[in-house]
Amino acid sequence: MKGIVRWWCLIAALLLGGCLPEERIWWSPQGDRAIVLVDDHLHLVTANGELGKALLNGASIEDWLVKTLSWLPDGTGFVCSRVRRVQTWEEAKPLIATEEVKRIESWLPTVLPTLKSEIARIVEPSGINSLQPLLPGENKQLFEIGLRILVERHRADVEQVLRKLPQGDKIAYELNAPAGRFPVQELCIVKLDQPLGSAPQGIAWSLLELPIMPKVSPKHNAIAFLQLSEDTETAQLNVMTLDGKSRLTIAHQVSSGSFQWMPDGRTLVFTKPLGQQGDSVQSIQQVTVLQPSGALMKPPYDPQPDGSLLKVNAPDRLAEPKLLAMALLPGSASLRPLPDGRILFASQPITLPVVESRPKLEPLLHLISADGRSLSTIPTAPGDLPTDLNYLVPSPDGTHVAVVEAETDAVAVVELSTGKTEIISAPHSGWKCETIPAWKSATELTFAALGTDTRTPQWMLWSTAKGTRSISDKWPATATTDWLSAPKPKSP
Amino acid sequence: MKPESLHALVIDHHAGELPPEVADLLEVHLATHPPARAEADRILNALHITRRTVLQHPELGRVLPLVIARAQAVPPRQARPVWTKAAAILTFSALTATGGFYAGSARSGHDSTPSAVASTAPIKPRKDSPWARYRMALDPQGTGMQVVRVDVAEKKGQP
Repeated sequence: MKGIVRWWCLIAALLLGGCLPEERIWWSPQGDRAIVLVDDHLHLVTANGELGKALLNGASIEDWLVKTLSWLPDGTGFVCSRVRRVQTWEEAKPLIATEEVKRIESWLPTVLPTLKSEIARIVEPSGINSLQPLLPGENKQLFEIGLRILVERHRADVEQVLRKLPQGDKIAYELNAPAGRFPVQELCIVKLDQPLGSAPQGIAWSLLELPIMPKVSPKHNAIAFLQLSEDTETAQLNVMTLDGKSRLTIAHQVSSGSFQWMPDGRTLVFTKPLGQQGDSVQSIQQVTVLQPSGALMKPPYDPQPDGSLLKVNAPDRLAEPKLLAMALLPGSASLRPLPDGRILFASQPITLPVVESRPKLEPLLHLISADGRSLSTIPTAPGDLPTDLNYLVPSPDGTHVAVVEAETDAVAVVELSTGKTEIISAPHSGWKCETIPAWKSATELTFAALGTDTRTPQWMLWSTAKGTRSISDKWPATATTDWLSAPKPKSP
Repeated sequence: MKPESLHALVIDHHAGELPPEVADLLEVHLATHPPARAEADRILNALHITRRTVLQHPELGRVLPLVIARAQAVPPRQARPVWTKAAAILTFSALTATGGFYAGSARSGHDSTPSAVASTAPIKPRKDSPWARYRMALDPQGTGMQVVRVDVAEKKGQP
């Protein structure tokens, strides 16, 4: 068992070594327009692929922690998580929670002694030319923010300490960060029906517990998102009303990215490692987080006058998540609820005890039934699915799933009822996928592939009836260059 | 929660010795009790300063032989009891041929464990599989196992 898990991790590590497929295409729920990522800028495109102007005032999203967004159910806009850089601590303070301000300011007295201590431990001072190696083993983010505040308040003191390093002036300049000292992570709503250039509406901000990967409920005014603690390197799953006024913590130490709304728009399904963060053996859990009215569930515990917590069981209280399954899941476990309530996921089957010393790594697609009581395996043939089964995109009607992998540019569509797999885009020697496909409708899939004539990456539209055609042929020639990764030149 | 209980829990959490379930409860408590959060931060600050101090003055970190002897006399604590549970569940899954799937713990009145693979009728392997293939190999540098992509090498050998 441990051996299989270790090898599974090795596969993940191997794949993480290169560029991974990422989201670049987001079709609106109505399929009438899409947002695409072109050269680190978000653009609106029409249903027939006409490329519009860059959104967000043409701002680059290069520094976003996770380049993703989620459409509002009515298709009038989207929610995203971006970095908003502000120049002073006084500007940052009103944005972030009072408790976070207190936490940062209470840490300030330790910052300069810690910096001195870290510099004293350096064996080769001449090799230090950035702040990164000076960050302590724990509470890196808290330390860095504290240091930036100290630069504001006692710049001479910080520079005096840094001058003990040959390249201390360069680090002091980095701390002054001309582009903005304080990178506030912001969840915001971008409305597309407002005049171009309108400011997004911020709904959550943090410097320490970074809100990322928002996913809007398909039925209610609520979003689920992860709150990433860079200091503890763990993620917490939260739900918040779209106005940002109410928030509820659902689970701690969840796997990054592995959460989805169920079709009812009130229930979340997510994965959680059984042991430490990053473990491949994970549980799949489900919990209802919104009341029928769309209001958030109330917290499960009520504080008592003596400081203790009392658990309350009531229909409007957040219940314990229901354990649906345990499975060996890949690094970026892909959970995909289907419209009928079943949940699709990929997992390496395990049989214990194992006698083989090197078992085959052949992950399969599985479905948890809508009532959560049974599991079935999609009957694909050996060789139909990649070992790197991290990228699954079910069609809006839940009948098919598109599959890609990081190491080739092949694209396949699997019929979930039969396991019949069609390779809709054959691999090209040395080319690798960097774009996760996206369904425009139940029968139309868009993805990146090499153009037949141009031999350059293009945005393709495939349907059973009409085959495959490019819909980006009128775009600037370099717009989709990075949607696939070209073969590396052979070393001499 | 009593202050001494909070202190012990925060220190254990910092040392990574709390089971995930207890760590979750502690996080909930800290998130809903700002005074407890502030106290926890105060403790963590103190731990941080202590660590820095010991790093700068290692002589302060010496432990007397008597203390070491006492520490060794205490039986080691169960650091990750959740794994015991997980191992038991996975073993159970294997015995019932569920292929790593477990269901039903949170449900009542459902006493049979469903099977992951309903039918194992042989399916013909795809001849023209487009995907990358891998095998495990011993690392020649002796650092353990490594994953090697095999289809590239095979294709290079083709005309």
